[in-house]
Amino acid sequence: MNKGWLLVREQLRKKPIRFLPGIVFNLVGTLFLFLTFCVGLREFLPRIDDIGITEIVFPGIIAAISVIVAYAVAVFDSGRFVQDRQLVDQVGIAGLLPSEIYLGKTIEYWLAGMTHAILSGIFVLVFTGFAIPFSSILSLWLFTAVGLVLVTQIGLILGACVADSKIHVLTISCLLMPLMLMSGFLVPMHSLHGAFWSVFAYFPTALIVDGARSLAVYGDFDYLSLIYLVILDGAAIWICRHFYVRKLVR
Amino acid sequence: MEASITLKNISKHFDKKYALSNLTLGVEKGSVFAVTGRSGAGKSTLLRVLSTMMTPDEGLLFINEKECPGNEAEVKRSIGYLPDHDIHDPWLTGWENLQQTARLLEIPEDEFERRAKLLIADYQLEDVIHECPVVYSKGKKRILDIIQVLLNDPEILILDEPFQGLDYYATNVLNNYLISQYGKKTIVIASHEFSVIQTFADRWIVLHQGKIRFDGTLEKMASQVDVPFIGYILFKQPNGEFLESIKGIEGITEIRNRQNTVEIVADGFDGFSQIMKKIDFDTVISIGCNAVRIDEFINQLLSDEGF
Repeated sequence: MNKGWLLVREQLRKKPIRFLPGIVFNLVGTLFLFLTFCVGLREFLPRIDDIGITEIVFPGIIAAISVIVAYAVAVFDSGRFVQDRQLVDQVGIAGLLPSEIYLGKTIEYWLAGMTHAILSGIFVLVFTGFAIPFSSILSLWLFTAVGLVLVTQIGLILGACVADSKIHVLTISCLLMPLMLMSGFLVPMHSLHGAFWSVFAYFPTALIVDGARSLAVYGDFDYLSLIYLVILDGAAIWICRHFYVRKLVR
Repeated sequence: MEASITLKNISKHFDKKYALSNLTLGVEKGSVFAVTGRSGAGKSTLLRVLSTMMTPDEGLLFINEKECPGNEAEVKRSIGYLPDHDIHDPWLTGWENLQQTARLLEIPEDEFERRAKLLIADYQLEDVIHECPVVYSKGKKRILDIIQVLLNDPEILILDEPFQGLDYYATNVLNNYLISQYGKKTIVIASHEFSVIQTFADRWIVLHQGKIRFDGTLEKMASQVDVPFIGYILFKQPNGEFLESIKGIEGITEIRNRQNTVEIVADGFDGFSQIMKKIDFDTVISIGCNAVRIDEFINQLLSDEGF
């Protein structure tokens, strides 16, 4: 028998519960993608006509790139760092406390995302021939900076607690990508139906993109969204720090 | 003597299974403390707890009279901990790994270079230090980890299987270093290389299923163990004349002739000293003996306790 098949068989022998996250992510991802491009459930009507102005796309591009980079770096690096004990122990023997490691890693991942936000902001400025005011890009970076804290926390804790890198990839392809598309990145949030709008408007990715867009494009400072995002950041830091530190001292 | 490390009723369990169960002990400052036991006895867990890398579920841990958890930030700087697995980034070069550790330890650059170069020269790691550890042999990876731990010249050394994978040269260098640090540093060492560590360890514990089954000196171990004394004489060539001459000596229970080596099982030193009188030293390459068979002692101890 081909040895490759034996490998496949060993994978299939795993407990059915291990396949569950994959199925859930696929379901959620497909639903989000569907709702991004279609008006609503059971209504297979494209919503592309709803886009009225072209400027709305640029905050989405910057936010999407930075969020995906920050999350991907966090989830993969955290997975490698914590699951493969040699790296975390190397830092540990150098006298760093688990809480210090947590802080260092959070900053590292946040910086990775923020660097990409700054870079793509500059590139968008260049590509548009400096048609966008620099103040718009600055306001976008403000929302991105706050939102990335939450994104890095989710990536950091998922990488630290879930050893399977397949799950890490799944969260990016089937959850984060659709969430970004669902955030108003392509389609303005207000073009969604009432019920969807009221739910998805409170998703962190939507808050980053829509909040940033309000300020950057329309000049409206959405204080409430920013406060809500800061509260989410605080809650995420509190929970993730607790579990991350516990994971390191086990 | 002042205690460097004190454990009071320390317990640690994983999924309801106790890795350490209610351990209480003190390690004196400047002493060498050997932790032995079979695989899975709890040695590595104990050393991880002592290094403050792992928090116990119950009990108190004091390092230099400072309670942990609570004072790790202060305590960690005085501890050099070498786990039983690798502690380097395989995709950084050996030198970059050392540099990273030194920066985290806040060792000044010039001081780091001086210490690192000295240690690298001692362990003869110069030829691969600027390559990534993925291409290192197992022994060289271990040497790199040892150098990382010694970079800070810590006051307390906690070493988990430090000789694992080392060649004879590196084993000698480390052994000599540990002997030179006797009385200066507190050393806690877990190793199966009994013949090496018995030369400098002054207190031993035997762990089994997370509990201390023996705590004492080598002398106490020797007095408790009922295993024979074994002496080895390596001749330049097979020596039948000598074998004939030692037959019938009192206290000798068995003579094993193995090519150039004669292995003598005796009741104690007295029997072996009678043998020594019969040896023509011109025909001998080396003479050795194993006064305390620590492995035998552990086996006997555990079997006496019904394991």
